Amino acid sequence: MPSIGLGFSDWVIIALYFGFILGIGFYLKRYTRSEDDFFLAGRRNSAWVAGLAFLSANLGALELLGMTGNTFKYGMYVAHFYWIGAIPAMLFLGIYMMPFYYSSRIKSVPGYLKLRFDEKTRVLNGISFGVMTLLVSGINLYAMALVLHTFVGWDWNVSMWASAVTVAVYVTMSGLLSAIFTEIIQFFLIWFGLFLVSVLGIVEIGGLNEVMGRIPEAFSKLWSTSGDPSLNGMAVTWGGIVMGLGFVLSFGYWTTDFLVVQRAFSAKNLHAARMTPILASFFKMAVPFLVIVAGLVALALSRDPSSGFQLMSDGGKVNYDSALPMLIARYFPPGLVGLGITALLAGFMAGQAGNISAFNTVWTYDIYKSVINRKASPKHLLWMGRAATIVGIGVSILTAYWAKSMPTIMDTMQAIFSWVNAPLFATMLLGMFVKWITPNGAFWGLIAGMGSSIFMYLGVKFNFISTRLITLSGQSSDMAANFWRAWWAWLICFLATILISLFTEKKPDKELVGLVKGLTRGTGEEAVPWFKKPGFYAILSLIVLVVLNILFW
Amino acid sequence: MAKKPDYQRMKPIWYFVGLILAAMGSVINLTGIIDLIRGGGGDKVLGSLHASIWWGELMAIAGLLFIYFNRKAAPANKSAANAAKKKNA
Repeated sequence: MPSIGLGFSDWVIIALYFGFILGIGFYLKRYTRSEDDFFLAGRRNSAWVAGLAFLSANLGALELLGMTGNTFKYGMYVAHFYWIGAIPAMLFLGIYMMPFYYSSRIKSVPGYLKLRFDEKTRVLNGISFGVMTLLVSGINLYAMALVLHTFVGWDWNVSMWASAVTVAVYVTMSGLLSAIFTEIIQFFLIWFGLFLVSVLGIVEIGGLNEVMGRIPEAFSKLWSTSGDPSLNGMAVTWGGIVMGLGFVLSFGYWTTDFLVVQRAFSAKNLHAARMTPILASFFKMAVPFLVIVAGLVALALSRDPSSGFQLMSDGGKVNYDSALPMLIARYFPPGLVGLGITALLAGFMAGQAGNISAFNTVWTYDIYKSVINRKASPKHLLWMGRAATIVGIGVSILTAYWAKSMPTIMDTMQAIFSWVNAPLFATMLLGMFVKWITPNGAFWGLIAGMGSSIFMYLGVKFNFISTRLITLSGQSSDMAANFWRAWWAWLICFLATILISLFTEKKPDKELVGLVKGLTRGTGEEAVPWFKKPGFYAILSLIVLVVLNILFW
Repeated sequence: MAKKPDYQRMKPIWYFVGLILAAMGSVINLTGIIDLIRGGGGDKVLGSLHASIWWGELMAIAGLLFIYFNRKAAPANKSAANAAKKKNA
């Protein structure tokens, strides 16, 4: 695969970015003295800071290379990940779940499980989250190496180590504080660095309508082809989208994944914490104008032999994840190429920092302090957080090699989420809204949900379970199988938790005050004017969501 | 117990956003101008638009605005400072 050379100004831009984020790490180190500073960024952030960080923590490899590549592969249906597959869940988190999370002053999502249920449920979730985070971190690292390998021609090993060491240095120095700072810088670099790709693509082809006109109908619609899996690029029905992606996977990720929820925990008060995912939802709905449009432009160009555009191939196999880098190479002159690469790098490195800062918190509080050293002092925990950062980066480098062997980045990511997040959402939902759910019900329900998801994944992979049995359809893609597997895992966890709770001992009401609906006071925002309430902004967000879906129906 | 840092002196995140946008925008803009003078850019699709000139300029202006409006401490830190002053009084 030939590499694309960089000019002097491109190198200057890349060097500026690396120098800048390391400089921020050093600058913030003086403000990172306590556990709260390191693990929760001092709980001083406004809703805007926490909201942009909330969104940016998710704007890593998955969003950029993976989503653009998947748009090329599956078409417009990938926009479901940004709209129905994100917005309702983000609003639900802000309106209904955040009061339980934030008011209980926990440091992590597994910390809530400890308060609501018991220690064993917390440790189970802490371990599974830790493993999942390092796996995702490895995928992120793989994507970073792909960019450096594709554009600069760097060796895979050197690419991974160079990026990983930079992230390790600044996260070790100032923890979540530096992770949030770099995430917000990343947000602006991504918009300035990649929005121009979509703009120039549309200009070259002659308008968005012309782009849509050049691709097959199966790839250009959002819902109208979802009745029959053979009619759309993703080979999925509306049922799989709504129940698998829109409900289980989306709610499982956005409301329980500590990587994103941790940003809301860093907000300065409950109002700011509730507004965090709601503000982020508006920006989330705009992201398709970066990645989906770029993917559709790449698809339209590749169908026209006279354009001279084609994706890279690796050993005869099309590399879908090269769609965005190839567009950057096509349009960007010197200087802008450096900005485009820096935007991608920023996305990967901030995503990496997000994973590692979430991992070090869960490791330190939910595994180390909970199981290994219960009497650890705050100073020791701060040291442990820094040590966990370095070890976590090392482990994610190893997992990056595993990620490299998977077909596409996004499919891998969805497979992992359906193992952990989908059943956890059932546990959280029941835990927050049904007071008679018991600690044993939650624990064994979670085991059943996670176990069934992994069993289904392995069953399909090693051909002892038919995909047809999971997707209820004769024709389906890997992505559709992920959606349906998530749905079954959620349902199994949900039913098992209820069933076991009927026969096991429940916690007394007095221990559940502030943790369960019905035993919790209001949010204290009753006197706030309607136009300042989170609910008002959530409704606005929903209206935008409906309009977008109708526009691209 | 470690000494508590002086959070009031911490620059807001928006200030750093401004710095990096202004620095990168200036480099891109300058590269575009040099490219134009040398008659380059023809090998790229839509190279005649000289996107680096106007896009770099836009970034630099956005960056300078961020720096100007956020050159002082973050509002959250200001309220913390005011609270501390009241407490001391």
